[in-house]
Amino acid sequence: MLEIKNLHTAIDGNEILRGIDLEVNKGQIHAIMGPNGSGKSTLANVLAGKDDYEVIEGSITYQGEDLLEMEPEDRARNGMFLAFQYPVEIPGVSNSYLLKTALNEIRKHQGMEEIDAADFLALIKDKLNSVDMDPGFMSRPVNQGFSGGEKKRNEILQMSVLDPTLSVLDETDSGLDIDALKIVANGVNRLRRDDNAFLIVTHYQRLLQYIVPDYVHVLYRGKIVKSGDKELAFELEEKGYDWLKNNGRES
Amino acid sequence: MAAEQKELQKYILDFEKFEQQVNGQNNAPVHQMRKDAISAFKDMGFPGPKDEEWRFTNLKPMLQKDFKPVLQSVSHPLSIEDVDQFGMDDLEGARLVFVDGFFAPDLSSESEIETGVQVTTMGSLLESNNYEVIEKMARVAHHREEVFTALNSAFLNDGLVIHVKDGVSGEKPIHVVFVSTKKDQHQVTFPRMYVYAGKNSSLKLIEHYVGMEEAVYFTNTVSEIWLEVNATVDHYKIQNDTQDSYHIGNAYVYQEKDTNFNSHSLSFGAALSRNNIYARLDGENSTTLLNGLYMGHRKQHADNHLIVDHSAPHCNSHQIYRGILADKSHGVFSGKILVRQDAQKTDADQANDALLLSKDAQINSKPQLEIYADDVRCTHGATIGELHDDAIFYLMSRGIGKQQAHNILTYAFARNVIDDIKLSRVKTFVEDMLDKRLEQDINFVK
Repeated sequence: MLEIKNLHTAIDGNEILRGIDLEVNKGQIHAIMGPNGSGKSTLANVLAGKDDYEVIEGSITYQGEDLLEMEPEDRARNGMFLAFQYPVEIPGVSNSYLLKTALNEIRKHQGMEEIDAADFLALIKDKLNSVDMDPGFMSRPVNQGFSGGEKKRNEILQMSVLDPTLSVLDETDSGLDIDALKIVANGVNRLRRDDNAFLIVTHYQRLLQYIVPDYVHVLYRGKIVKSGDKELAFELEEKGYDWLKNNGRES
Repeated sequence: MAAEQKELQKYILDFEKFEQQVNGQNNAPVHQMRKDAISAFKDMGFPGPKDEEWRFTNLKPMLQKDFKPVLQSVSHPLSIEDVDQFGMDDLEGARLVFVDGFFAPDLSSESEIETGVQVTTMGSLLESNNYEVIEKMARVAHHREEVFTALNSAFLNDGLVIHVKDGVSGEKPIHVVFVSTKKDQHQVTFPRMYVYAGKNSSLKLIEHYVGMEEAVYFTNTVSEIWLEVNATVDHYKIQNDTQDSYHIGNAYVYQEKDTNFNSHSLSFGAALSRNNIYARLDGENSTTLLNGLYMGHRKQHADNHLIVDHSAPHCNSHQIYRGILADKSHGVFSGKILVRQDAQKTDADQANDALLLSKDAQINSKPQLEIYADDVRCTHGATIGELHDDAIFYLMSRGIGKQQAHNILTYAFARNVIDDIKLSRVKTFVEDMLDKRLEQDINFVK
């Protein structure tokens, strides 16, 4: 589904990603771990198409197409979703307007009719419940005045309504209490199927106690220095990232 | 002869022509007022860039155009359908139409006027030598203090007088449409409104300025609104003049105690527009809301000058203006809160936020507080911003195209001003205007 080859990127002339190779297939959950500044969020943003990043070298193929040639909205319409580390507040645009517009853009792209108001309400009612959000959230401006946890739950709500093929979660777990963390994890687990995939970017292994990844990769200084299964996450938790900084280069 | 004098002289000569036509009124008080106004106009002259109140608004291009006053009503070519196209034709209530400055009964629906709301044209009052109302006028609209008010007063000929009787609630809005038609000679009109809301009364009034396609004209309008004790007036002004036209409007509001005045100024049209609003709170426990949305594109110039004059204690006022400026358009905002010595416990705020959609768009914003009382709460703020890249990317990452993302965010910016509009038909009209502008005229994605 997603194939990243020798990806090098820079921002303002500083090279951040320095040769990433990664393959994500249907039905898989990959976790990307790493210390601060290792390039985790850069990878997530490059996948979503944020244009602050310059791709110097390498390629990304998504569903057989050159992802780097696609506009961010086309990536989304083709099933890519980024749960933001810092979701943006948008005064004057209601949550329900955003979600309905986004859903309809994706439906239009798939040749489906726009969803009518009643069906939309029925759809989100259940999804709201699953992320423990009050229906009142839908009429509030996007993320405005939301607590950190509410913003993250709102990302998960959007993810579950838009039902993406590839979901990229950028440190969605950071700063969450255990209840909110479980809600995020449940959101992923409920959506998990053998025709979609997840890329979970995280600093801590805590989230991975609730979402069991198929692969864990450790990113350090812009490179994947170690890959393994879920055990690697626990090993990291135990030994800390310093262990990798010393051993990373050999793998 | 200096250019400035030449520009003045033109109007003075036109006034002399006008005088010859109003023979019957020569000795009437109204004509004394006109003469006084033209002499005030002569004394003041047109403002230039050195006048503090006109620093950012250059009148030269307007003054260089040869606009001819429309001195008498002539038959017009318009049909009701022509007026319908300007929008809100399905609005409940009376629609009163003026064509090139004169009342057009054939296009108006006077029968819809509610009982207790007395509506008369100024033309008919003058014709019947009924000067009672006209003598009351100009109590707040000082033609000796503002040059365009002087010019309007000098050429006073037609307009509308609305008198809401004590205790009467005007439920249905009165929609007044001022249409300018296309003529070989560019013309200037001087619409005048005088509104008197009696004790415990209420009124919803829409002033709507438009022009036929390709018409080039100058509208110089004055509205006076007097609120007696415990009256409420909701005043909507929609300025949708043609893109090569000029609009200068002065509104004067006088509020007795326990009154509510809500103004919504929605400015979309004209090459150059200037809206002055002066509201005086002269009785306790009154509230003024001055709410406005202005939108400029191409080379439009939109100027809003507000003064709220707190003369009595325990009053509130709110000024909330938002501007959306695209292309090479230019916005000017000046908002003044004047709190006189007696106006203790005043609670006043002011905000002007401008959204610049292009690098060539500009805004000059000037908030002013002038406070002579010591126990008051006054705040003001001005922001100037662009659309946030992060917000645009967020919407795009959800499958929304770039142009639409810009539209959604621009719309959202206008939202809090639009949400204050209580008349739902006006609200949807403004939303449609905004949609049309965003979809047809503004290209964000280049």
